[in-house]
Amino acid sequence: MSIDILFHVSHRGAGRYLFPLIAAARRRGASVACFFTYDGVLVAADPRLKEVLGDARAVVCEESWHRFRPGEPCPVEAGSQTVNSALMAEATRVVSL
Amino acid sequence: MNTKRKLLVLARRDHAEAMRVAAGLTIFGHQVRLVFMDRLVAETEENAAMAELLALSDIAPETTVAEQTDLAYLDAAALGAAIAEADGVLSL
Repeated sequence: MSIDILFHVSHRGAGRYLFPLIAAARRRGASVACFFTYDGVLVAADPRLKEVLGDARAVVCEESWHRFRPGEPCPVEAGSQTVNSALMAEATRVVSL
Repeated sequence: MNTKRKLLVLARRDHAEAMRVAAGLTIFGHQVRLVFMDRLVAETEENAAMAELLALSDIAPETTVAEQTDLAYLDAAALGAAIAEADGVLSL
């Protein structure tokens, strides 16, 4: 499945931009996906994410999750940088936040 | 669709994390450039380990920090060109 926009989230403060951008993209009918790494994984822990994502794919770098949220269950799909590389291959556009 | 991209990773906040991400991005055959920014790369064990990962991934890092004389230097124009040539720019 192709992805119109891949949001690459690597900053804990990115939620303020990510959530409205996902919502806007979906309103326009664009398919989106998210990959969270470094302290951007903290955005994945925000309960608002699932509301805006709908059926879009969201993957958290497992290593970063364990670093910033040790011992806590991951709320979305956990993956590796291999998944990140695969998503880049599927995405038409990449937005880094 | 499964496309090999030209990706540019800007290493700003955390050089080690940027190296880890850049190396990982090569797994699906993407062409990856990594540019260290903001400061000299610290001589830490973590950075040294990640630098080995870069070497294994055939990434020759560059820098916008003139004092980092062991790496290829990009001035503002060269950095702009690198951004323009990339299919995707990641800032870490």
